[in-house]
Amino acid sequence: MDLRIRRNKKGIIFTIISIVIAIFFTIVFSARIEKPIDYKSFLIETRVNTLSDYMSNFFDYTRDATRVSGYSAFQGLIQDINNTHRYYNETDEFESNYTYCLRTGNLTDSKICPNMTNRTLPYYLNYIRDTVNKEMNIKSNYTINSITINQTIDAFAIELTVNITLKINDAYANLTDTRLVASPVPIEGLPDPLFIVNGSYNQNISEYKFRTEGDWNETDLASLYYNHSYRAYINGISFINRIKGNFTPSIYGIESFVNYTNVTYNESHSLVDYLFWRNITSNCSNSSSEGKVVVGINITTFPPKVSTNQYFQLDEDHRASFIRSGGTVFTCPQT
Amino acid sequence: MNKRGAYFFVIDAMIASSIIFLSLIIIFTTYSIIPETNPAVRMAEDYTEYLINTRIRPYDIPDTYIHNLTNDGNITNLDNTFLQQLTEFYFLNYSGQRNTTGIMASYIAEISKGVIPKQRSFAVYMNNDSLYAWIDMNQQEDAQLMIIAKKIAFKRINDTYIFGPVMLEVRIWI
Repeated sequence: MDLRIRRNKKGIIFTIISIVIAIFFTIVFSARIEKPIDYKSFLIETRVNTLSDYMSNFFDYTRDATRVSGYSAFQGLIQDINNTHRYYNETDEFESNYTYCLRTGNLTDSKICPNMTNRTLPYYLNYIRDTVNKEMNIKSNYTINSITINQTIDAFAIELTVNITLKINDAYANLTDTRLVASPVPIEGLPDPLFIVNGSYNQNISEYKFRTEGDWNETDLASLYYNHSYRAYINGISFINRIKGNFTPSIYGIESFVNYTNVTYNESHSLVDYLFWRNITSNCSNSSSEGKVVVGINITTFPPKVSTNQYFQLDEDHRASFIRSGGTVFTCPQT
Repeated sequence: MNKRGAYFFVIDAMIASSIIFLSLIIIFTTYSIIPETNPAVRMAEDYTEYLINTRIRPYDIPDTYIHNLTNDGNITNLDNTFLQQLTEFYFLNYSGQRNTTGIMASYIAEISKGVIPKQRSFAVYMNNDSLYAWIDMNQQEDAQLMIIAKKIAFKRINDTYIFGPVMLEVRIWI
């Protein structure tokens, strides 16, 4: 009897041990199901990454928005030049009016910048800020600290540099960053202020893209002329100086040629735009010891003007850059 | 008597083993059916980063769909990123210039090959418009786990117009 009870007790002990082991494993593995203390850190990390991405996107968008808004501001400013027929020739007039137009859509406190409705830089930046607030619940604000205008790289692009600060306020992180965002604003397609103020017809700027290296030749001259294109020319007048009415040569200068069939000129005129429209003349006589000489271009692509029998004319510097020898005639009798 | 004792111990051991075995089954089953969110979130984030940072040019390989799009003039700038190109297609469709819904769906399918595993359903939306969906098993409404990654997309169309920002949404679900 005792032996039977002892055996039954052993069975109970084994059962208890197995239950204890089962409970032990249950507790151990259940602990793994529970969320760890730092379970939220991944979500926070994801949110902070989202905020960081937005910051990066905002500055990228600012670059594109500056380019688009900058181009529109040039259109507005040139429209104003067209209305007033005067250059922005007062000290800092161009810089202050242009940046004010970019920021507010006005040239001055009392004068609107044409064509800038819904095209100012703050309009675009407000749009991305509000969209992101609505779609991603990210609250942010920006401050445009300054806008500077330069031309240091390309004759056919103006560089706008925007100093801008973005602040993001979020439950998980507050981020602030100030960056200089540089945008090249192309001048392709913009009306040339020189033609507007001094010319008898208007012409849009179009870069000549068929020659990027090597020497210019007669074919280039004809193509430039007949396509009303512009080339970068180290002694030409830059686009900004054309707005300012400042005709100092610039390494970012550009030039085109005046349509000789549309204008009246004499034997001393070179038909380079900034020389002709400003009525800057040169000698037509080779015997003169001073100044440049103007010559007529006598090649098949430039037939003489029917009404006056005058040739297309260039000063010697420009003639030499396209035509090495021959193909020229004097525009007045040589003594 | 000894035989009966042996039976008792064997049965007892079997009961104990069953308890342990069942406990382990319950524990592991419960543990394994909880979907892991982190890898899915990473997958969605990685996929959107891939769209944002990958340029088309290296993928312009003969006899591929991308190359066909380049040849027939639908892709004009190989330096666009995948997302910029998708935004451009969307703009063309959105502005009514051209119906690009088919192009967008095929384009997303092509650039997503091998990036999202076939065992994951995923869909791409722009401005809440569905552009593409790959459904493995469950429809979106039956998903056990759904991860949504949102990114900002925009594209400068010309010198005077920027399209966007619009929201790109990538949904991955199980």
